[in-house]
Amino acid sequence: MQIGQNLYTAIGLLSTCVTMLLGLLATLPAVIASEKGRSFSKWYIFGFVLLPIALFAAYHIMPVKQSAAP
Amino acid sequence: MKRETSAEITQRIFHRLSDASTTELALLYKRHNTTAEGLESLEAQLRQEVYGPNQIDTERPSPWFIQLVKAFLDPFSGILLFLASVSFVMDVLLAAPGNRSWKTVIVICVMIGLSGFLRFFQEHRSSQEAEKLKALVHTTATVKRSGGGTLEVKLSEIVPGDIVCLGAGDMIPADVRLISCKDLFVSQSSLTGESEPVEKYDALRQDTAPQGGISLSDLNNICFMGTNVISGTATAIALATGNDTYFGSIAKTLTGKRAPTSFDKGINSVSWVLIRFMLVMVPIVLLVNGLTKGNWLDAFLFAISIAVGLTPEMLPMIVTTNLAKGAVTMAKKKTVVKRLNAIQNFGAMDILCTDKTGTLTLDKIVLERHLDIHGNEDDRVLRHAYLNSFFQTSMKNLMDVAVIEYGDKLGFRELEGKYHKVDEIPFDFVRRRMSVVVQAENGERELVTKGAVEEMLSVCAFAEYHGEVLPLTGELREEVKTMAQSLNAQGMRVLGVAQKHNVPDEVTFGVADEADMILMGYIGFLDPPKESASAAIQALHEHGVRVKILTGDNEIVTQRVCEQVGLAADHILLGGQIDAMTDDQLAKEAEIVSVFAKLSPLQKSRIIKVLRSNGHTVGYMGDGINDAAALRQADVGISVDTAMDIAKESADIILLEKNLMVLEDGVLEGRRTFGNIIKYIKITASSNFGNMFSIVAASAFLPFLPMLPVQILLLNLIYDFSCISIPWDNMDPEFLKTPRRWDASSVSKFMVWLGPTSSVFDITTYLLMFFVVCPLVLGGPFGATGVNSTQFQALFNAGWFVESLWSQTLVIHMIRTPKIPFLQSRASLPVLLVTTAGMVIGTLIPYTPLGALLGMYPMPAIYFLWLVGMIVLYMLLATLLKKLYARRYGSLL
Repeated sequence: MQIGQNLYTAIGLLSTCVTMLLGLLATLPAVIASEKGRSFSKWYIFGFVLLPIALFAAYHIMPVKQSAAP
Repeated sequence: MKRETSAEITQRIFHRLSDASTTELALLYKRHNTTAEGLESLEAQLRQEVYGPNQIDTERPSPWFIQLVKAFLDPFSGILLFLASVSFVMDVLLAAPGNRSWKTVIVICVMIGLSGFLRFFQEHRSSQEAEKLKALVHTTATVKRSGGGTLEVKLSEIVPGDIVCLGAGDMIPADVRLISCKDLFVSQSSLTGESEPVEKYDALRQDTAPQGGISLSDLNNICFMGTNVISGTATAIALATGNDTYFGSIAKTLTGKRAPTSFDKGINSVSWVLIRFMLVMVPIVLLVNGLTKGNWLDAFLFAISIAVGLTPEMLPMIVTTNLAKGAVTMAKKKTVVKRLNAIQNFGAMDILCTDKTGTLTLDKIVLERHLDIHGNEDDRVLRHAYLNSFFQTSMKNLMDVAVIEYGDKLGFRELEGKYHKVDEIPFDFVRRRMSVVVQAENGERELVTKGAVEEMLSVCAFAEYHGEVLPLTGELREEVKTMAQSLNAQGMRVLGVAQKHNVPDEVTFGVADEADMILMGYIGFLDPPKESASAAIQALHEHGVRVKILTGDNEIVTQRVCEQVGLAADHILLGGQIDAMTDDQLAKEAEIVSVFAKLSPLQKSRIIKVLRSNGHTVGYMGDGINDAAALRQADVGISVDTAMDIAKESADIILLEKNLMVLEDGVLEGRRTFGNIIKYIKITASSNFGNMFSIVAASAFLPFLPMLPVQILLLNLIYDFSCISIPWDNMDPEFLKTPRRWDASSVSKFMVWLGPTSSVFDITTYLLMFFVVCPLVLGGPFGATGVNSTQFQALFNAGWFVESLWSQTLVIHMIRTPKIPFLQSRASLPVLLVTTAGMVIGTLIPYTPLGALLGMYPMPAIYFLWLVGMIVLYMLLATLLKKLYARRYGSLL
């Protein structure tokens, strides 16, 4: 019973910690991508779900070219 | 009751005074029940009882007890008071006799008391300083008393019907109608903004009225309270005193509630963001705790502690201390900060509008040019002007004084020994010139005349150029007129200077002698800018503050002053043009145009209003009655020590010295103050937000509370203690470069972005304490046989208490700068010392009897190895995230 309770504590705290860490680190690809003209929120979600890939992609994507004023 | 509009007041005053200006004197005496000999002393006393003292009812400081109450009236003190009351009911009133505890109530009350009393003390002190400043000004007036001759009385003792004697330098003590006067010139700049003194007469001269009807200032036999005599003498009857005067009516329109400033709006919006956040999060903690632990009373008490922890209760105190510290720093630079929050508005200001006369300029006539007839600098012209001004014995006007001051600097004083005066032909307003006849040591006589250029041309038959006397031909006359007009266009007042040698050997001379003279050249006068004006404008520009001139003076003079102080004045907007614009049009124009001239007080105020509605934080600097409305409309009103009382009263900041460079100091001090306030808010808000996450996670997954309510309050108290040093912290020079203003949304973004960083390490600490340290010390996991659950929880609580304190305190160093803390930017010594002391005290508590009393168990040494590792990782993560935040939003604080 107690082992189960402690396991619940371990899994709960660990998963919360990892989720929060991912939430924080996901800002890195999001900021890089937004500086290249991409959507911050979309890239934040991308980073949160697939951080390593999002990070790699954010560094390698080309900046969006601003369309010239008419 | 509907407050009378300014237009209605002007109209009412105009009718009353214009009526008085055209009324026969005998009728005026009768109407005011007085005589040319003045009132009897007893009658004057009786009238004082009827009309009251001759004072303007402007804002008076609130009594000390009102200030004391106001010091406690802020949302955070309110929340804490509510929480203290709840705690009092739950912990004291409803608790069983053995369980009664005052700890929470006392801790919260200490926080409220500290914050409120410190705020009261600072604000009360500033208000007293401002009153002392006002008390330095003493003014009297000379009145005639029937049977008692003339006597000096306090300005406040003047009553309607008094016969007042006026002389050069006197303040006009009431709205008066002139009975008799001689060469009376009055400066109305404080009322109308005109830099030139206006001449007043003992009879109304309609010929001076401009087209389109006469205005108040065209009533040239009326003098207004608050203006002052430049030269000449007069006797006048007092028509109205105190609030019934034009001056008083303007003051009356100003006594309404001031529009909230940028600071008021900013602090209010940030406060409500924090309160809303607390109101959302605390019920979540209560629910999660109540549902998972089952003990709703404990959950409720815990939620109260969390609410206290989340309330940035030190915010009012930190804000007041920051503002007061800024005010003290400015006081050392001879600047009185009357309203504390003005210091922050000073830093937020991105546009400074300023009056011209007396603020940017010296409000003093100075000789600027001395030219021959072709416009070349010529000392002989100055020398003759000096002889004329020096030897004349009637009252020297401002221009004579300027000539003498200038000549003295060039050593012309020695002429006093080389010449003596034979006679003089005094100035009068018909011929508008004056002459002196002087005799040199060798016996040679000379008639020297100076006066208005047109009048000088009428008495000159010759002109002198490079020592050669030429006939004054029509062509030369035209050139002289063009030259004078060109100097006028540069904003100068111009006088011609002439002389003649073939003077008869007589002792008395008359106007007839002023003929066939030789025109030597011109002298030009200006109201020059203060020495520091140009440098101050440049310094403000470098710090992101645009300067705009708002003056009642004419555009020519204004343009000249702008050129001298380095302000572009290509496009000047005039008062009349402004009246024709809608607010939207004016809002667009006000962004582009830097110089506004011929403005009425209301037009000045309107420009500031539209600039504020465009989102700017606007400062206004002025010194006259005509600036009072604008001073109150602005986010920060700045005045000078020599300003009219009403301007000083309407201002937030008073400069005691003429040096305008203090404006730059004020801006930087304001930004420093704001930086330290926002630093506290962002650090505390993000830290609290992180703690919330940690507590919710603990409530959901831990079998006990991660920290006891009293431990949370103690942690909060130690953290608050560390924060008290923040007002003494440094700000990075980069932060001070641009205007800083409140942005409540940036506080929420900051909270969400950086707050959870500490939660990651809080939860890591939970895992470490629950699965490593506690089992290591107590011999097994939580709930295992032989493991003391109370000690387990006490050790756990102590572990998180210390980690939380370290992370919360170190984050002050992390977030106070966008640079790398300790290496690239170091906190001030007070912050370093106080935060270190807080950490040391908090770390030692679990090892003391107090720790045991509070339910803590000492941690083993191995815990600190883990702790240091975690803190290093925490700081690395916080550095990464703050850099990302600054990249995303442009600025960390």
